[in-house]
Amino acid sequence: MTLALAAQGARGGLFEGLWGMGPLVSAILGFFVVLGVASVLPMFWTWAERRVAGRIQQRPGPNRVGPFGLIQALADGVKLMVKEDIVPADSSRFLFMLAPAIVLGGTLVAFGMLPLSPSGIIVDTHLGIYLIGAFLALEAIGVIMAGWASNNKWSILGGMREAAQLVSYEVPIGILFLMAGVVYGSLNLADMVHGQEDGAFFGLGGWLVFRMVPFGPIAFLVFYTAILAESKRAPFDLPEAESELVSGFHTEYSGIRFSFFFLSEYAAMFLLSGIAVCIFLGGWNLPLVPGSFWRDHGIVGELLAAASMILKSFVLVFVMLWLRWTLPRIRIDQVMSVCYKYLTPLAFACLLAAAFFVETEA
Amino acid sequence: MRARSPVTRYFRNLWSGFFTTLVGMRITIQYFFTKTVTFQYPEQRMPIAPRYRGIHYLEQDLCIACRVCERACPIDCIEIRFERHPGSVNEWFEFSLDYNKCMFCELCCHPCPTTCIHMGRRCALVKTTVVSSSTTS
Repeated sequence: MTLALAAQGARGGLFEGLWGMGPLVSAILGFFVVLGVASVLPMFWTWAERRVAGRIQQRPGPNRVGPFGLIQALADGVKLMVKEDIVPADSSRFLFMLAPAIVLGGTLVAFGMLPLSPSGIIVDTHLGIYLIGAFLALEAIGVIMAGWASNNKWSILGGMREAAQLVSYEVPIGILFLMAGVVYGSLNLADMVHGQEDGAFFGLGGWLVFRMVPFGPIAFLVFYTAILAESKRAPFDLPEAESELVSGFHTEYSGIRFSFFFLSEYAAMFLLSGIAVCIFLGGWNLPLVPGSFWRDHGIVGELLAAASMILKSFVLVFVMLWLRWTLPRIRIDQVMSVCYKYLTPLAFACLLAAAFFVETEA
Repeated sequence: MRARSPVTRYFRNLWSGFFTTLVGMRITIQYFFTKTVTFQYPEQRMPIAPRYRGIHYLEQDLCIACRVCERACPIDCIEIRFERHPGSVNEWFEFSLDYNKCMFCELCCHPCPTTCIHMGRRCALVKTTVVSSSTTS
């Protein structure tokens, strides 16, 4: 499916033209690059999460394996891989084994539509963010599947909560995607980044978060809150709620299958932060750097753009980790009321305001 | 308190939700930048207080096997095997102290007539080799 999409949509993939490669080969190669980025960076962030947690609790966190404990994530990965693969006797074996693959697959495929640099986008389609939304929604199916197949009360409760939460928070996210479409006239994330180049105030004025005050900043805060819930981070970590549901839908999972869920959570954090950066924080654009800089310097420009992009989304991920150790978990009815009573009306207001601003500016 | 309209309440809720989160985040980021308070155990050790009661230290030459410590011990973890020499001091050949029972109360040290048993400053019963892991001597 990915390859079909990639072959159909690739319009200027990362490697196209390099060594005479066609769009299909370029897309396949690019997909493996993104697969590498999408699975190595989250590993590094599990380390960052534990270091940040440690620092906030006045302890150093993992610091034994490698310099500053950087290889800790690798050691954990090896440990998870050699663990015994346990499938509970009363579980639905096929669904139990399929669920982690669906969850991780949905998240990784969504990476294909995220531009890391001006031409570092694998599936360059016109419906970029909506495809991402569609593939992220696969996660809910996988999670319900995991919860149901585990034949465990905690798991089914966690899976149901997760489904309710994911489907609800897709509403404000979808509305804000629409708002971005209204503002930039495109649903492709790379086009959105190009739309934020060369603004006023040293280039900062072009970023959506600084435009249409106060609606730009409000839209960013609403989107950020919604992606917190979408990636199951505290204070919206009800599906995993350790103190109530053991660990929710992945209670029965161990070893490599558990690590699939784990990787998918951190990859989703990175992906959703990347989308927030692309829509609201100017993508790879930096203040004082003209938008043509990234395109005119060949592979160096592309790599610098990717570094800028990853750094920016790391700042957002850091705030996620910071929030996790600040806020207690909220109740399930509060999760729902935050979504439907507060975020959705605000998102609608931002959409209307964006339409109004775009109309008056034109 | 003055009754507020639902609209005011709605926006107040929204604002307090946002503002209190910022307050919490300010507190946690302060902790983030403070120094760690933990000790990295094998390299760093906590300072040991002068009157710390650790693993016992026995001055073997001074011990006269009078069994006062054995009787003083509230949980009977000391056992001394010795030979009587009439007219002279007793000669002990096994002084065993069961650290599975010992609660480090120091009651064995005070009555000793020759003050030969002391509380040491070592606290770890861990050994680095399997051979030397026995606690009886």
